[in-house]
Amino acid sequence: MRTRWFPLLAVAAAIAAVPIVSTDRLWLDTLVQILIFATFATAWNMAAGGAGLFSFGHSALFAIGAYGAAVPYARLGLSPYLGAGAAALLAMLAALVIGVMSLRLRGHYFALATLAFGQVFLVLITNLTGLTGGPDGLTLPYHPGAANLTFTSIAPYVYIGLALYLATAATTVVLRGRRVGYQMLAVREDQSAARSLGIPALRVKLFAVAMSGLFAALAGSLYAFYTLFITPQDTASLDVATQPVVMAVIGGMFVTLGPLVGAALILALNQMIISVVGADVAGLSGAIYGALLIVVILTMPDGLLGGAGRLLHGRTAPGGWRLRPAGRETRPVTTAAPRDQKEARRA
Amino acid sequence: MWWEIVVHGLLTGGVFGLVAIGLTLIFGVMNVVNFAHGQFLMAGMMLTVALVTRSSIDPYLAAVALLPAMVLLGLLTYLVVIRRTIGQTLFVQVVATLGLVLLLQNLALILFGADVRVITNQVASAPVQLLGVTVQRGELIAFGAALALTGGLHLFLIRSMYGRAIRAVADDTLAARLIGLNVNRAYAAVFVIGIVFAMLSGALIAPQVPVSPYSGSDYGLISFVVVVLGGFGSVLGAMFGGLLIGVVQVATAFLIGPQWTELALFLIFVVVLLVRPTGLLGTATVGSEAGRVGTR
Repeated sequence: MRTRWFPLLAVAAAIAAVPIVSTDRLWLDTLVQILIFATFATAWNMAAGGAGLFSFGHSALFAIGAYGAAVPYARLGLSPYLGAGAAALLAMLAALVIGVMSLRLRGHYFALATLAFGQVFLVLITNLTGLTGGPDGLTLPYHPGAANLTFTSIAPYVYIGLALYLATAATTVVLRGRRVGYQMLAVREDQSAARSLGIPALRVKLFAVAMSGLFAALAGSLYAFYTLFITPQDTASLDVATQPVVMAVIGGMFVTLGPLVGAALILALNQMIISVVGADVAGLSGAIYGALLIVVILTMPDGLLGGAGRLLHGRTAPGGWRLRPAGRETRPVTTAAPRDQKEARRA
Repeated sequence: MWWEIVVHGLLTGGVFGLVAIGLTLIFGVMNVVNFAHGQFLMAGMMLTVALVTRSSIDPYLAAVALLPAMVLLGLLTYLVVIRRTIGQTLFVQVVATLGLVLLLQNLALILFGADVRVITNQVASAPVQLLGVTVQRGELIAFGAALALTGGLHLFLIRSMYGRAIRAVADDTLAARLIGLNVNRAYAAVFVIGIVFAMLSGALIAPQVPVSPYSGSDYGLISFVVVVLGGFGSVLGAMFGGLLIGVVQVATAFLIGPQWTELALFLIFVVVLLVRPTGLLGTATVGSEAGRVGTR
């Protein structure tokens, strides 16, 4: 029990202390971004690391959270909390669509179908100009106050972001220890075997993806009210769809804190590369970032924490999704494996 | 009007098919989804535009002159990045190729700047009559080249020894290894062919469309749609899918509005994936065993 919660609580305490120690706006801003995207990546990982649903459509859920809370607030003056709640419910429904896609599609096929699903939302948000403000974006009115989820300083956002992240990560840890968490793992590892044991695979996957949608949408809502200006590009584009994937994979999909570490690394790294090489040469920081991404994933396919956990314990850090060594499940074990894969893909 | 839509659509679609063939080949043989495929097309466009503006040679001549550079880029990418992702999980492949997306896009930004460039060329922009419709000659050249390259690749795969070896590797890697085929070399060849096709597509459409470091992702997404329509791993299927998507794109742009073309494409994409994951043609028609590189 203690080992499951200790790393999460230690990190939370450290983050909570930051606004007291530092007032540097740039770093506090980066911290809020990290917490929002760590929430998003952890939510994504509930479906991906948890139940094997490797989705590229989570940008849709993030965008539903962002626009679902922002549009009623900007157009009708509806409370952000009500809007975010309604948007989260809507996102859970949309997430169920992603879950249903997994009924017929596995692996690459599922990834591509969800990618198209996410891009449909990008096109809709971009073109429904009357509602969403279109490609120019939507500006939220600035009326500071807790009732409007709008604050004059950054510190409150750090605590709200931290609370949201903790809720998401804690849900991961709790699920992991419950019956449904084990069922999710069984479905991820081998759906047919899981079903033969009487596990309702579809229901388990739908549960995982709906929880994932809930927190992804809440991250989107907080993003909208933190930046007070959202565009389809910032909330629904392919970049947003791949962001949680990259963060969770780089940090370590099979460790609870992995997505947070990935988000911190990527956002802080971006910030650092820009501050070191400057913005004089357009594209230089982006090129370095891309190259580093390739190097990190090729040298540490299990992610930073996955690799570190293996070095330290010969197993993962506590509270992760992992049951057996990561990254081997799709690798053919026997000569018969390729044929199994073929059937799995056709199925 | 309908006839014009069909002609323009088919001309546009030929190049879509050519880009998608590279993607489908790499997927079918190596089981790697190359998310950076559109960025390789962009690299082909940018290099062509740069060469044409610097030395004012004909864009089609530039495409041929750039062939060695295309082969080199493909080979280098394979050796440094892709080879290490083979047999790894989907996650590793995805993140590595997304890294390639960023790398290529930003290298183009460093080398050529963010400006949108257009090259004008008399050979390419001259109007010609085709089946009663006025089209630009460049579109016709790109379409003809796309069909010729597709036919050539198809023949190469079914007739030549190398092509047979590649299909054997696609069918059953272990058995191919057992009979003494060099799987690594087959993978390298397939990846290089795929990248060269993508970059040639870029070079072929460069005289017709505006070019910037960000032009790649749209074509990348379209080629995913095309590959799914044609069936993963099917060369002729990809060309068929490309032609179909070309017509759908032109028809949507003309009848509903250009901003809705992507929506139409993605809806088709999701529906086809869900209803017929093996592609519209299935396994038994045009893409029967001969044309299908990897049915795995």
